[in-house]
Amino acid sequence: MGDVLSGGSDKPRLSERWGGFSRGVRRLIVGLVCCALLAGAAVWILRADRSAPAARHKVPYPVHSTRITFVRVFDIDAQKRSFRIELRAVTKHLVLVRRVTQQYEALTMELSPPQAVTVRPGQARRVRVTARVTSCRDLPVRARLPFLDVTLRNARASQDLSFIPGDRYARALTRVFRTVCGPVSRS
Amino acid sequence: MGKGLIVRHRSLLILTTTVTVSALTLSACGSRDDKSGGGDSGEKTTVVIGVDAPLTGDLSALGQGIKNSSDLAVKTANKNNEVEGVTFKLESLDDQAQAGTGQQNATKLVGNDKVVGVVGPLNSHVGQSMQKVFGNADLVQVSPANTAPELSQGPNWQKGDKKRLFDTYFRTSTTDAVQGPYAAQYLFNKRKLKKAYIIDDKKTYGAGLAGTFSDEFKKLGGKVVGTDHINPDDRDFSAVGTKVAKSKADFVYYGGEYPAGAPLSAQITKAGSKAPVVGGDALYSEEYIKLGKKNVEGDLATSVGAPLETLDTAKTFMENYKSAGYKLPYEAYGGYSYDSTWAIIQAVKAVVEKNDGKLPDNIDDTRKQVTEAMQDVKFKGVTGDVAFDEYGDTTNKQLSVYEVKGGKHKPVQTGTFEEG
Repeated sequence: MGDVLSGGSDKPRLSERWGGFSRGVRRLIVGLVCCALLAGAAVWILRADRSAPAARHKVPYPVHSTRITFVRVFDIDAQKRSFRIELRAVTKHLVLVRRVTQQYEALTMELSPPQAVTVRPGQARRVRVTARVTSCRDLPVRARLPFLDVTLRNARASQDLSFIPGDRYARALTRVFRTVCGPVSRS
Repeated sequence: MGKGLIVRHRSLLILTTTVTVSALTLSACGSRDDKSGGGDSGEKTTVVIGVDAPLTGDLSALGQGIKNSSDLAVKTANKNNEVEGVTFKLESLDDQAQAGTGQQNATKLVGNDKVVGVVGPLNSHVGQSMQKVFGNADLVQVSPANTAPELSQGPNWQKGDKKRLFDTYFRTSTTDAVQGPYAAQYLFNKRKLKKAYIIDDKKTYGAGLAGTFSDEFKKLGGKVVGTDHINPDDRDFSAVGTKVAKSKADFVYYGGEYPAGAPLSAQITKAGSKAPVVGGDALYSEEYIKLGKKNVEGDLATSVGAPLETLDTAKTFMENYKSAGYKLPYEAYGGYSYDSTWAIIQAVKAVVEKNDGKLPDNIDDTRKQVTEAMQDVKFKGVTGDVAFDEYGDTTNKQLSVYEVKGGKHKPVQTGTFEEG
């Protein structure tokens, strides 16, 4: 038969074992088991409580995990009144750059190529945009802080955000507008 | 007998093991609690973090939010034993939004040889009056709310001549150099509002903000159909309201704070104008809506940072603030105040680590080292990643536009300033 302890059928029942303990030992065991259960429950609740927010939202909103910076303006075509903008996107969590525009009435912008750009964590991605000046009238030539409207989507949310690239972008736009429209062009 | 005994002994062994493990777990929890309660047996140094804000008067709602949020940071640091061997204490002083009082408070805080850093103030003009006092004493100051650019970048910042005047000055909020132009771009291009009536309260913050807004708005092609200056202590703005109504302005830009801003907006509405009032972070307060009631529906305010609701790091702060039972809300600068206080705590921590586990014996040395350490402080705060640039300004330059909808400020746009 081998090891009788592995048999099972001739094992004393739980009630029989319990009956074998003295009253004092039984009380001690009941008390300690209750304590252990309480402690286990407390630890489980504390851990669950601490990890709950993180588990619910593992990915932060795009605005908190993605950086977009201005790199350069290039391919300026005065005849077509067009130019291209290069941006650099980095992210902590996978994100799609779905749209880049600037809400000037006299300017149109679209991604180039037009497909959304996938940016992966730890890999900087180049994002290119083609811009066209539709009218030189009312074009804000000397604005100090133009911003780009960018639509980002990640596993958490889709957000329309403003990215304000600062002085260098503002100066680059001024130069382009003057090149494309000329210092006196107002049509 | 033998078999029965072996089984019984094994059951006992399992039970005993379970109980022992549980008891050890409990005792470990117990010892952590003791420590977090500040009851550890090691010798502890108590240092003070000062807070200066308007705790009474019209702007007290914002000031109390600053004080409570700093208090929460100090309590959290002590509870978690954030800096080994150091207990933090808070000393808050009321500047009543007055530059002179702020300066007196600065002198008082410098005179207390337990003070290692100061959080505050709210108002830029008060901040200006305190800077030199703290600068002379090498005492670090982190403002959660000053937005006037000159405080960190010097008086000629607008001409591109940026110069840091005080190594002791830091801030966690972004500046009006971004806030004013961002509002102008948003209103002109996105909302298509082309005619502005610009009003300010002649103070450092209000006039400065209105100036940066106006400059950008005009460059975009916007038309300024009227301007006015008001006294921030007045509450009767009916004459200005009538002028705004006659001007047919699309909106009013107000550089100033909510105690005058709310009645100004209400009286503009009552004068028959439908122009919304737009302003900066000092209009982004629950008090603005309480004071202006339905008359301020549709008004807009830009404020520093992204909405706290979108930040996972802010959720714990909001929950802890609620459970701490503070009577007044954390308001516009609560998260920034918590982060300002935490930045001082982290700078103290860096100094302790640098000095073999304790602060220097001399308070002057401590203050100097805390100021130096602040420049390199970096942590994930309530408002996002906290760090400072070469001017002492925050590297986290986010801001949002809020609109009063249904009696609440609702976020409508968020932007990030990211100089390439």
